[in-house]
Amino acid sequence: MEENKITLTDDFNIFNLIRNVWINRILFLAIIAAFGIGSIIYTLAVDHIYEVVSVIKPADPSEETTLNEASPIIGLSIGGYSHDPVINNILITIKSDTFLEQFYHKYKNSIELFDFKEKDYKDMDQKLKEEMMRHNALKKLHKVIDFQVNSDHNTITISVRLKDKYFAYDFLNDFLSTLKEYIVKQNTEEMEEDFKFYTELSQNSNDPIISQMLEKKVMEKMEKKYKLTSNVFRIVQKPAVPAKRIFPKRTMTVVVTTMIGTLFSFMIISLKPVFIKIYKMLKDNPA
Amino acid sequence: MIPDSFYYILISIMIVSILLAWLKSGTLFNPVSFFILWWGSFIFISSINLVGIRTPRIDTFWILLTALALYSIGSVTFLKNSSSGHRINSVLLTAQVTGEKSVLLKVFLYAQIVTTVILLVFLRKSIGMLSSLDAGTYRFLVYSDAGVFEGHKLLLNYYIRPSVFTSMFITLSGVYFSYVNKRHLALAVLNIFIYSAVILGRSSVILLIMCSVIGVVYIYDRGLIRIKKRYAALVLIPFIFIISMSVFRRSQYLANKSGMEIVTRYFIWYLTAPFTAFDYFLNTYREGADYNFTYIRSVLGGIEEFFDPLIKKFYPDFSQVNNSSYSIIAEFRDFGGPATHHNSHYTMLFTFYKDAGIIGVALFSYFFGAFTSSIYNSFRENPKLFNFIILILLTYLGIMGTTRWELMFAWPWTIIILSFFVTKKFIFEKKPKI
Repeated sequence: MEENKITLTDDFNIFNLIRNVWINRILFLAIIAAFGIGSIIYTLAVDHIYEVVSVIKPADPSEETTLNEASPIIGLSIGGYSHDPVINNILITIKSDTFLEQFYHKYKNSIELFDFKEKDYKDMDQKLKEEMMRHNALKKLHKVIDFQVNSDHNTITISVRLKDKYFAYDFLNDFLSTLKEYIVKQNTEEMEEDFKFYTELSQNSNDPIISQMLEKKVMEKMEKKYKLTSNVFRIVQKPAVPAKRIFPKRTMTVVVTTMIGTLFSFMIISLKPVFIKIYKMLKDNPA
Repeated sequence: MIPDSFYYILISIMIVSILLAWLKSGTLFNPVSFFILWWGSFIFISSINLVGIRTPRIDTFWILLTALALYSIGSVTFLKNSSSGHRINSVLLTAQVTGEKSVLLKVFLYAQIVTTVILLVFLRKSIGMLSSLDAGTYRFLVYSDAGVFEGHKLLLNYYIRPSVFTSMFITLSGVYFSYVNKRHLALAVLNIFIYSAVILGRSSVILLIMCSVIGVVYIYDRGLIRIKKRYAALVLIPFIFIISMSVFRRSQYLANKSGMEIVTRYFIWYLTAPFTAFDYFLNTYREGADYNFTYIRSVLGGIEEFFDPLIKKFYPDFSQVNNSSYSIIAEFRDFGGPATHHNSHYTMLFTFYKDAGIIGVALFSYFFGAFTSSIYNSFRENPKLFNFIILILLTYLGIMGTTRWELMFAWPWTIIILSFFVTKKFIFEKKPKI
């Protein structure tokens, strides 16, 4: 019957630990205080970040069309959350540097977004400076703009996190309208190319049945594409100026950090004899 | 975008945790090392996007590192100092009653044979079903009312599964301690394979491999066993089984890939996609709107699941806490990568978070580490079958916590309860002379 007995004193060392904590109470409290005060200082010193959020609902997938049959696979390979080609098209666009570069050119001089410092580029020639600025700007944009697909409702949540909440609000509004325009433009270009391609194919075909089939196909594609062009997505939740910051969450940070500090302090107290033993060993055998 | 500071912190946590646990326990083969190396490696793999799965956000990685650090802090705090541990001589650990002399041991053996017969009946049924269903659909339906266990759910939950897993744990530990004959283990392993074939799932074989390895490492570290090279070859059998099953189940999706490539990619996908799933949960579901904190109920959800049929007799409207989790995790979702869809595996931190948010992640990780250490201390002080089984189980649960928290299901609890009774009834040990 002794087999399964787990005694707290032997295996958990709780009583020994409490006794050691009492003996080393100053160290114990000092560690907790360091964590607690450190977290307070951190949350006061760090820049406040505000998040502006918008939810968009892409066009009905049943009305989608993709002239490039590989696009769903492309969407999957880059690691999106959805098989839906319309959602993937939006995700690919949001992620693409070509699309984001527009904002670099537009907001190059906005310190609320990029804040390029001259000293970082002082030894560079103009070309290299431009390249580096573009690189850093795209990096910043990827960091600032976040998105999340809710596959339960087929919606995309797009958020912008910045220090200036008013700027973030304006930026997200601009981002959404630019996104819509960009996708419409791309779809239209694709539509024209496809129309050209199928028309040429139809004209070159000697068989009237094949010609008729191609014409029918091109009409179907045009119709679907037109729907998609006119309705890329609709905004379910409009951007709004946030009342509260998203970071730092002061209360939660201080509570969690102090709690971790307390647990960490217990560990240090339990390790103290081991450290003393190692110290003595090193002292006795310096070689 | 993963900042460099994340990698510095990850490596620091790994090194410091392993170092402190080693200093405290006097050995590198301790639960902290296993946990940290496994979790740390897969967190790293997840962050470099090796197989095309969407990389979790940095906020999610910070939560993963918090859990890693808190597990280590809890574990290291309660690990017993090596100087207070006693070295056990294996000669002292002899059983008074061993092998066939024990009537109860024979009963245990016959119970396993009964399980084998029942499993063979279901295997025959499953072969019949597989002739008309593809492997993916069969697997999808396996636990449903249209699956192979149709009309026999109680038999599955309260006899087949507990019996298969518990006998595997007991015989495996028994063989390591030389209490039980090896043929008992062969029968238990056979049952695992048949069960795995019936459900067309690899998890039970993975459990067998992992627990065998964990058990060998612990018992080797205590000087109770010597590893013969030829036994290492035996580990290959379950691996071949898993590879074959993975290829069989996924071949239609990845027809142009080799079997080994499917397994490698699928293995990495299988163990890193839960981080992405956890990230999806954190960023999609809001506490108060989509779910409510369940305060320890989710962590101990397996107890509710075990008593669910009984509770429903008295309270027909009772809904076990796992149902609220299933509504989140049961949905098949695409996270990219070689597999097309993913469900159920959201890491153990999903369960912790669902119970009490970030504080739940921190506290449950801490207490899980502390409890594992206490069992480890108990095993090192006085190696017995029961504490050895629980130690293997907890180490396995911690490691496989990268996929999900198994204690939210009934099967680990049945192992704990059955092992407790069986080891106390079957094995009568001498107290080691210290």
